[in-house]
Amino acid sequence: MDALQLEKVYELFSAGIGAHSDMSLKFVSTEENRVVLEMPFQEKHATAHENGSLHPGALFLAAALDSACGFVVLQSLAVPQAIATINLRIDHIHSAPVGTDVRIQAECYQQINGFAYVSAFASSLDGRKMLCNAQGIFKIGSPGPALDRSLLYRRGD
Amino acid sequence: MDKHLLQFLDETPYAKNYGTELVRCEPDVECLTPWAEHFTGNPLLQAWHGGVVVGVLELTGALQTLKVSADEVCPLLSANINFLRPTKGDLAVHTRAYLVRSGRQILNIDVIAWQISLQEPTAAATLTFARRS
Repeated sequence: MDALQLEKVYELFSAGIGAHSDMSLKFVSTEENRVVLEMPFQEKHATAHENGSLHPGALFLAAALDSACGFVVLQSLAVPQAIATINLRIDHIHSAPVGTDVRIQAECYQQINGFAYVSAFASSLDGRKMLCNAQGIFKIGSPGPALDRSLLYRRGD
Repeated sequence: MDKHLLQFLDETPYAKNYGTELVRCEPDVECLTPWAEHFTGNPLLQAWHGGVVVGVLELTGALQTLKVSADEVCPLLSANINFLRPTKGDLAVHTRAYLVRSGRQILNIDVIAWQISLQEPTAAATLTFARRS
């Protein structure tokens, strides 16, 4: 994927997908086959009220991990294609501390026979506290339009 | 209807954000989550974001733990989710949790998600919870 295509996927990732807007996901950096995102704390992510205070649990991280995994697969494709999550496994290690932002890193470490294999983890911003660890399998070339084609179409409007 | 489960859904910001409703809790916990625009994962296919589906599956499993574990939500250790079909936008998602085993230290719960028919599930999760002791 060249720089222009990557920019278009960024645009779609940031603005065109309701779930990403809702989570306020932000790009921090990208390298070949790797992406780093941050998700700011929002009260609506809290999983429980205990003793009058918020307790954000691990549940809300699933969507951010799935997004990071999906994006790193899209980014690693030589030719833009539709992808679909086949399997996602998440180990919940620590709850996110109240009021703190979360960093998500994902890496596509293998593509073979039309499948992409991804590992990801969510941590505190300084990377010292591991919150979740995830492994995902994505089908490349699944039915449906590739994401960036719509942006190409929009440019011609 | 179990008042503790309803209270949990009503007081938990995460559950309120999803708009998840409790349909029944006997014999298994079953929920309904109406479609919302901010669940969009693929705008071209108008499909649910996979991670949001995971969140709803995990939430349904958490409610099951609340039911079987003396009204106490157990910490989730691990989730393994298979995506079986596209989860289509504009349609609600039904979820049902099955208690596989209730041990002294671990709760094993399977959760299934569907839209039109239970015979055509869109996703299935195997969840492992730790009991607080």
